[in-house]
Amino acid sequence: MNNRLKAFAILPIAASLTFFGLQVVTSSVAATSSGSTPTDASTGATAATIEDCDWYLDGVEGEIALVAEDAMEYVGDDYTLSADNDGIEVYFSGTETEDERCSFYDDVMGAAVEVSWTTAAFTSTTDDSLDWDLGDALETSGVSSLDVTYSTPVGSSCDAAFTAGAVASITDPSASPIAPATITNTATGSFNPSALSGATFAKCSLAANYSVVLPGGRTPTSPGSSYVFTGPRLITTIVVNDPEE
Amino acid sequence: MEPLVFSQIANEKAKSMKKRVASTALLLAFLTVTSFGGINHTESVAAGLGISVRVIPGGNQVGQEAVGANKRMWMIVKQGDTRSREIQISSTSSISQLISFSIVDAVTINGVTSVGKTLNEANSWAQFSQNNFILQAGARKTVSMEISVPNGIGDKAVEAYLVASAESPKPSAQTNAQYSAVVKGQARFAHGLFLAVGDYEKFRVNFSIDDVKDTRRNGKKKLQIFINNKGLTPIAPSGDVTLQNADFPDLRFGPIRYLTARVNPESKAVFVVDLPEEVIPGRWKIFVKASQGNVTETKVFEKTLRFSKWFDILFNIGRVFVFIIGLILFRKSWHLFRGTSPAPQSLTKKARSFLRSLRERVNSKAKPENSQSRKIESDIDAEVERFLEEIRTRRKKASPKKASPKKASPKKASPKKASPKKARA
Repeated sequence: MNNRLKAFAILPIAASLTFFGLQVVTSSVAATSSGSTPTDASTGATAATIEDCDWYLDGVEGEIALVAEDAMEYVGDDYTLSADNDGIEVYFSGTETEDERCSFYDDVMGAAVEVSWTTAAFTSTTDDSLDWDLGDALETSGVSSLDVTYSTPVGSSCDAAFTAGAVASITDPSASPIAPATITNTATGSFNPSALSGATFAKCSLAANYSVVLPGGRTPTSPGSSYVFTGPRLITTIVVNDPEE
Repeated sequence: MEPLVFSQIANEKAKSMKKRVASTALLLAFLTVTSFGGINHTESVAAGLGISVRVIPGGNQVGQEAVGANKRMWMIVKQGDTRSREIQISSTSSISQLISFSIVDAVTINGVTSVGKTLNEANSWAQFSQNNFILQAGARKTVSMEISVPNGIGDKAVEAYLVASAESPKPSAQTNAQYSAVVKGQARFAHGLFLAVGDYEKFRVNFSIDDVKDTRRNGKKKLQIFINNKGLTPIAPSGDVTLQNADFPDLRFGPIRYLTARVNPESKAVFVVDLPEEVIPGRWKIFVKASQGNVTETKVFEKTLRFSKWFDILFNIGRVFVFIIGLILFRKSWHLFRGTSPAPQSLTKKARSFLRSLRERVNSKAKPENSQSRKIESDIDAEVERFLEEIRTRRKKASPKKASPKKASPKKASPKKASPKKARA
């Protein structure tokens, strides 16, 4: 009986201590959970008369023709075809023109450029004797893949606020997309696009290099004629960061 | 002299003619080069696809201003009802583009959400005022998106992306190379879409400002605002903070405006606001305001601001210790109540007893199953039984001899019993 009385006496102390301690545990969880990463809020004034800031994606090639750099013909050896696209631009501005004064009107959103792809085969509509799938073995070593490299082009720049650059060796159409340029909501908020003088805007220029190897060891049905192979579609998407950071 | 003069004049004319021809030729060559350059430049620009999409706040969102009155594509649509939003698509390209709209799945891989490849079911509920149309170079167009949710669809929250795709309507890559591989390109603009299917009341905006805390980051004074989204719709509230010193009420700072990122339904978030360096440590009244559409929450906190990270860390460590002590007391209380002893057992003892029990369990389970081993076992048992029987019979035979001293013991005891008699005597 005596012990039971002791137990009842200890119980409220234990409960209050646990509750007090638990508060810090839960608040720590709230502060560190993925949904609640502390986010720097930006401060500043907004003007109601200037344009709304919007994100723009520009300079994505509608079609890219990969050709042999050294003008060599296919003679049954592994045959490299490549191309460049230097003018991909990502920026926010008040209008389609870059660096137009604007405001996000208390709703700053970052952006991410994602590149995904369809199918994994190169086919010719006229003659399928040289058709190949990405992943086919090469004559030398390895497998054929569509290699895509994103970098900042010479003479252009990508703001430090961006995480820029990406490389992909595409052999599988279901693989995850790559993100050549990303800027968070917070980093976007650090720019001052509404300033009357010295307004700042986030922008990033990207250069893309594409390369694929037509595997050797094949014989064309119509030697001497031209072959145009149609490959996967590269989808360049600018995703406005609506989801939490 | 005249012919000489004439010839001189003729020579000069010829020279000036040559100069003119040369300059004209140079000019023509320059123009040709620049114009070709211009054409080349135009061609390279023309190949580029470029778009932007703006979500226009409002739309047919009567009674849902808290959700729809912003640039985010958040909608609530009741089954059997229709709601609409407007979007503006603009071209940054110098060529005509084929534009199409769709709603695609949001895919999360390793915690990163990206635009999926499959159409979301909401795509079949959506009707665009214009779809699969040609957007002229540099043009803007406003398109209305109507969402009609059919009856029979259960209440749900749909996370997806509204995607505007731009393609080149005509093949543009041309090459004289004998072998070429063509990779088609597509530019897309993806805007997050949250679609709540069900009653507005169920999905009404509901959030609270739970707490504020001082902190110091990179040497700067900051205030953390804890926001709890209790509703079923996402929010991204904005607001302001005003600080008033509790001891000197005239010392005020603010309102300091702050913005937040998206807070998912039924989750908490912390946002950090920069404070002026003039905010000195001490007791402060902190007025916090947060607005999401037409819903505004305010709260006043009275806090001692210290701006010391180490204080927070030590304080939290102390609280964790208190929590552990609380748990130990709970255990003690439990054992006192049950009348059992929470005798501490060393780890090695616990490990040994665990291993022993495990071994016993394994031994009991790992008995041989085949008949031969069973026979051997029964033979051994019989042998042991026989041996024990032999011991027992030996004991029985030996027992009468051993018993005599035991029986004799009372005799030994007799002198003790006799002693009182002697004493009486």
